[in-house]
Amino acid sequence: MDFKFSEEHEEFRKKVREFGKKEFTKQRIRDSDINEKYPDELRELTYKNGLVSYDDPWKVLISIEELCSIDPGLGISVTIPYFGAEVIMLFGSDHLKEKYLSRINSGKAIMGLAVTEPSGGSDVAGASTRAEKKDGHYVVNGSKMFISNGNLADFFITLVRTSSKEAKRHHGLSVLVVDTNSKGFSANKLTGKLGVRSTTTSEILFENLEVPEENLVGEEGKGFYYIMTFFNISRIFVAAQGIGVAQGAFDRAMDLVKSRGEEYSSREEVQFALAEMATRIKATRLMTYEAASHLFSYEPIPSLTSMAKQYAGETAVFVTEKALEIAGIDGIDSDLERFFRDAKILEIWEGTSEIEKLIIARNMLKGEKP
Amino acid sequence: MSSEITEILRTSVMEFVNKNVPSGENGLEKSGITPDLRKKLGEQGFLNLKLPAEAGGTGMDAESYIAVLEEFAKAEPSIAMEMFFLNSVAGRVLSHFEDGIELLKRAGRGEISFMTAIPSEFSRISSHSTETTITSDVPIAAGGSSDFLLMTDQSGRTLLVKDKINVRKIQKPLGFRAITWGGVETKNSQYEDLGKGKLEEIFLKQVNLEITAMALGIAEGAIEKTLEYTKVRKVFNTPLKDFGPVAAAVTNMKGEIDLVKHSLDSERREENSEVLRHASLELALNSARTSVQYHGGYGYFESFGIEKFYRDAMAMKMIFGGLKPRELLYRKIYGSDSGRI
Ligand SMILES: Cc1cc2nc3c(=O)[nH]c(=O)nc-3n(C[C@H](O)[C@H](O)[C@H](O)COP(=O)(O)OP(=O)(O)OC[C@H]3O[C@@H](n4cnc5c(N)ncnc54)[C@H](O)[C@@H]3O)c2cc1C
Repeated sequence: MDFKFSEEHEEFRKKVREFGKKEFTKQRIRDSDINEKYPDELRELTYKNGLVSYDDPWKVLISIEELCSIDPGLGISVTIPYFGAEVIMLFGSDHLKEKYLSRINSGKAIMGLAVTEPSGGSDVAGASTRAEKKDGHYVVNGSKMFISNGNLADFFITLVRTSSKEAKRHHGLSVLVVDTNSKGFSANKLTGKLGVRSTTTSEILFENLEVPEENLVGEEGKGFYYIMTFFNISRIFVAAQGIGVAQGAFDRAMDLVKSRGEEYSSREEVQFALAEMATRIKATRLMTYEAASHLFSYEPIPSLTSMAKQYAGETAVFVTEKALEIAGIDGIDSDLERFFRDAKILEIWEGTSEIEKLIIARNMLKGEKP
Repeated sequence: MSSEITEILRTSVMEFVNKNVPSGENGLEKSGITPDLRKKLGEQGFLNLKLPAEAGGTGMDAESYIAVLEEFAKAEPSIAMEMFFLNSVAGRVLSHFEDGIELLKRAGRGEISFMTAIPSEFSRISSHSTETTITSDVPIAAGGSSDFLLMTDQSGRTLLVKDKINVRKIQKPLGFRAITWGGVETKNSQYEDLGKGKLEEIFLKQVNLEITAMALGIAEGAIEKTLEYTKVRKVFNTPLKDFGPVAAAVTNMKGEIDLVKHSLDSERREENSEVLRHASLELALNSARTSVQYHGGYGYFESFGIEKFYRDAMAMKMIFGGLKPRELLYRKIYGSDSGRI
């Protein structure tokens, strides 16, 4: 058992950190948060500096972790343009890889993943956006809710229902790559989020939108499986977001405690709070890295991945709340209040904490040993 | 005052909110408490509830005042907080002298309002004063408009600052966004000396029940909405309330809310006020967090009116929690100084 990152990864971590410290300026952070503005120039810069490259998933994880510890909103904003790429990587045809992934990999395009519908995000198999085959096309009708990059993306990995039979709930779903410049596509930006306000979230609508047949990912009827496989990967990166948010909040709380002198830092109540925060962060890290090790060597353990995701979200929320308690009223307009607002999403997106618990228990009941 | 009258007051708060307070996409947090709304609150007699009679107050008893605070907090915590600053804070320090009473009268009618420097255990206010003027830098104050400022100076005196009050307004504070938050500077400003340590004393010791009422209101607002939502929101073709963990979490919160409410309504509330303060701050945060969670993506957006409870509950803990009030709680329970190491 070796708990150390390679020298290359440690160097990379340093590079990301330096980049984040330099480019995530106070002005940029405030501007994006208050005005809900997507930092596109920062996305380009992150790409140009080679900080998000799918050649090495550990590097993606490290980038997310480090950038989120500097500012969660910007950290997520610059790493989310690739959201859903793994679906094409794993299940897409060469044509789709060539046409879409190459643009993503060269930083020229932004993509997104459209699964959630207004009637519910937890019940993925309940998706009702319809796609009917007609003259070499799928004709798509329906809507998706809370879609990241909704007004920015060039294309979406979209979960659609291609079979009308209710009995085929899970098996009636397929995945299409939908170009956003197609006729019949529209997106309404949803404003006023609690946190991660520099990310763009939208409701997207498909009205008789035509998608060429070759934009079907893999096989018809396997969409549910593809999306679940994707979530088993992406949840590791959400766990990394959680580590980053929690670590960033902890570092700031620690600085505050030290700045208040020994009388304060020697209080047991304060020390216990710090110890509890740090312990949870460490546990999250270990769990996430173990789950990632399995995943990145093609032997994923879904219950372990879900444990990491669920615990990371909970830890981010716990640590940011505790940090604000330590800050007291002086935290009302601080970095920490932003970390607190940014943390909560981690218990909601890509499988709420409740859904993660169901995944953990159900896989273990089937004999999986995390 | 009888509980029947308290109930009538609660209903009138709800009616006032429904009629006068914007909600949804362009809710109160966007507009803030405008001078117009403040005036309406004054006209309806909500602003001067607990002010002394000579300052135009209604002479309302504690039970009714607390009920009104709770009811406003359920719908719009910012309004409750503004009422609190006026009645529970300004009312306590300004009612001892003539000018102060005049100001309270006008504030009770909604014509003027105060900012209050929030006492902090850590950041000190820097100030320099002559006999009549003060130049100071206050890290954080909150309230209505900056007609007047209540602050503690460097030597611990509570002052009423009357002019040249410059607020560095926080654009989007964490909580209670409909009131004004900011750092405040005064420069050669006229002031009135109100005596030693008053503001701190009030925040630490004298407003436990008001804090409880506001925190309880936040918890109730959040959980009542969650109870309703979990009845109608179907996931996996099933109402959320039918899932065991959902029902357990929501009913646990509801049970705790009822317990705090019961204690707050009881005649022994004053005796238990330290315990109530701490229990309710915790409860507000837990309830609001639970509420955001069960509203899923919808709860994450301001327009749904849920996430504000989470921010406000956290801000409540930051304003009214902390080591010093906890020490008072320990002392109350142990009967002597405790927990100081
Ligand atoms: C900012 C933001 C960005 C997002 N980005 C994307 C995106 O890019 N693509 C995308 O497809 N989606 C996205 N989402 C949607 C997100 O994944 C969903 O909000 C989430 O899956 C929950 O779905 P829901 O909001 O419909 O809640 P619901 O499914 O209605 O759930 C409501 C509550 O019920 C709980 N619950 C549900 N079922 C059970 C059960 N069986 N037992 C116990 N509790 C249960 C849930 O945990 C939740 O707390 C985003 C959401 C937000 C807020």
